[in-house]
Amino acid sequence: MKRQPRQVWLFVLPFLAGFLFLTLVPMAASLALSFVRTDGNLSLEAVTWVGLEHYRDALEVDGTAALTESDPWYFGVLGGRPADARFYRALYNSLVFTVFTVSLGLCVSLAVALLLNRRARGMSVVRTIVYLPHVLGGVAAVMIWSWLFNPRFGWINQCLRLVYDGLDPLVMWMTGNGTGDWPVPAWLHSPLWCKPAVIIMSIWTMGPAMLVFLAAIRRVPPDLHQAARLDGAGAWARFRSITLPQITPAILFNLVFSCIFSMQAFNESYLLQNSSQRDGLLFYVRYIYETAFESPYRIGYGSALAWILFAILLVVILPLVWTSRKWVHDALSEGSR
Amino acid sequence: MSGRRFIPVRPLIRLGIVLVIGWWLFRDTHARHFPASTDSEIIRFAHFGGAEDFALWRSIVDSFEQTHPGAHVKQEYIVGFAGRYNTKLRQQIVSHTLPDVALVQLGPFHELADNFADVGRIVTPNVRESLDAVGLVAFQHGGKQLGLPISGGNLLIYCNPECFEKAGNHIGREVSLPADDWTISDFHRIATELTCDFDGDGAIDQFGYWQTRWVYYLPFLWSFGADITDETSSRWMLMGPEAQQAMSFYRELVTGDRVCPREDEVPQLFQDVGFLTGKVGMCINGPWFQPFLAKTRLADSYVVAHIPIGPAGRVTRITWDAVVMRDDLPPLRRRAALAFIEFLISAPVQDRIAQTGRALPARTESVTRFIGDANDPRRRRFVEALSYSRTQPMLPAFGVIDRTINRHLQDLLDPDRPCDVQSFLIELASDPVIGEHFTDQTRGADQ
Repeated sequence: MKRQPRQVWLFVLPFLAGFLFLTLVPMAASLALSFVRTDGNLSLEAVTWVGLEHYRDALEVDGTAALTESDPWYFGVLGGRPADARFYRALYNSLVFTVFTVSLGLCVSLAVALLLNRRARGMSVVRTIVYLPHVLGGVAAVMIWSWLFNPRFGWINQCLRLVYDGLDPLVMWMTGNGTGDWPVPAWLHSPLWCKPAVIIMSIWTMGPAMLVFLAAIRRVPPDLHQAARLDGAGAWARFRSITLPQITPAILFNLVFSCIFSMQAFNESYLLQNSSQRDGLLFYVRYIYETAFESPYRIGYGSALAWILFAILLVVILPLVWTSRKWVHDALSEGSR
Repeated sequence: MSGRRFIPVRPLIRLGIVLVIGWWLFRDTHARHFPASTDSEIIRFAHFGGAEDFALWRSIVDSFEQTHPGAHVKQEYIVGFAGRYNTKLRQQIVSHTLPDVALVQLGPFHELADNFADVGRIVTPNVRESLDAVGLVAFQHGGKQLGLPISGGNLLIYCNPECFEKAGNHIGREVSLPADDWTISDFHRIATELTCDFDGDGAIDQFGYWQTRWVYYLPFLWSFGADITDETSSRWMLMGPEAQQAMSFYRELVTGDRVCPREDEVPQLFQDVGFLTGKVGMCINGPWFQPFLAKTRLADSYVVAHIPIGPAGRVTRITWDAVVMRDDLPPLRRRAALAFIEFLISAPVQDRIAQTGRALPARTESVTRFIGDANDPRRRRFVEALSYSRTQPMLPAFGVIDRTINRHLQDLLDPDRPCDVQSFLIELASDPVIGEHFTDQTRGADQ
């Protein structure tokens, strides 16, 4: 094997230095911090070793505590009242958000990618428009959506009211009552509707996933489709038997990254929180931030929560990767066979 | 091997270039994060607030620099409400980058106090006599004077006369502005009269009163004779018939008479905008609301009323902002910081703070400047209210307790949820967070 020239290290060095000092060292520091109590002070003399106490505090459930009506249903599944109820609330909220965002997001982005794969005039402009929300991204997009979801003046509820008005004669004819008393959702000001609102908001920024799907669809050999067409296969059969298996690597990629990014969602939760939601938008990473960097300033506990999230993501993603050999189409190994 | 000796010029030049670039890139970072390593008369001063606050502090800093040649103050400004500023201070404490001098609210003061230096040497008998006694005591911690009050504010009721007029036209009789000796039942009546559905579509167009945060409900709570904690903040006291009466009144305002808007009825609307646009006829706020109103069309017409008299009399909440000094300053910076603090509590600066109308000055003799030559009755009310103002003893771990109270309050104020006030008080008192931070809360519950 040919030896690499020493200059190679010069080019690799910036990445290695960044990876070491900006990723590995902070990770190691946060792991170390998760075993100590800091009491809001990071001086070495103020730090006390507590071992796994933070992990126990987060996960512990008191089986003897009676649950009340105001407790969420999943406390019943846990078998008692958690020592840190907000930890479980945050975990539940993030999991619900992830399940819906990932599943709906992948379906919608795949559908849009299939539509944008057609050859038509002005399609490149349409593709740019679809990708645009991702470019806008971040705080600005969240603030725009918060106004769109405004229960009184937001465009979404204005549109809903227009739809209600349009349906009014029909509903009146069918039921005898009009749509005048049909409610519109309070969206971000309701514990019930705040999560759907944020899920809709997240699906809007599906540009990157769509782009990955589009690239994968374009790499599907056209002769496969031509052969299938000759054999009389319809559009749905070709999609199910050719396109879908061929783009499974892209599905795996989007699935893994969507899961990671959704579990790490912060902006929506932080910027759109209000007391009407009753912690309905308390996402996991915001809880870590609140715990570690706002009162009560428990940096050790916050670090432990971060590592618990890491473990949860491993539990979710490793099986996906392990089982991928069975369901992901590997064009390279197939070619070498 | 030739054994020839030589100087590795090229590697040395490369190393030199790397060092120069490194110094150029990171010198500011070093100076910022390790300020204690350099001693000079350059100090960092942090404060929060709006554009008017920035302008005020800028002018004060300029005056200080003019009168103290050699000293230089770097103004560090966190825009907006104090919440983010308090978070920033905590982050700076953890990262050992606390400013040399900082403005601190009474709320988080005791939590942060261990990081501040004793400024008691400034408090000469003259200073002690001239500063507000309640404010001075409020910033003592562990027997030391760890902060000096600069300015304060008490909560009073603001009225929008346009709303009173509109409500009067709507109901066909005059809705009178609050009298000086109005009671809680007068307040309730007026707020109810102000609450109107002008177009008859079932949605309330004008609310009588806006209650934003539970902290702003303390004047009512106290006027009913209830309390959150005892004087030492070690015992939870929100229990008993007075507390029940006060919280029933709160629930009634929000869910019964619909006098107060719920958050989803005024989404993304701040209290000041709601008041200005006539969405609410009355709100509770401090003197810091006045400079904003002075720039609006309500400048001449808005009215400030006293807190209504309740079963236990009339009480309102006053809070103070103090100036504190970092406790590990090297001698030169310490001297400059102390000089700056002395300057802030001097009569000219206190007069200037008072003149803005944003806050009551800590120096009692400057209070007349707050009222001003025009003898504005609205400003005078805040001074008169000093006679019945009190501070809330500091809650330990304010952020956590604030969240806990808010969570329980949401249940109490939910119109779709039948809520028994007594159950609310018991559930709140027995919340694990309250149990963790207060002893004897069960005894409080028995009362």
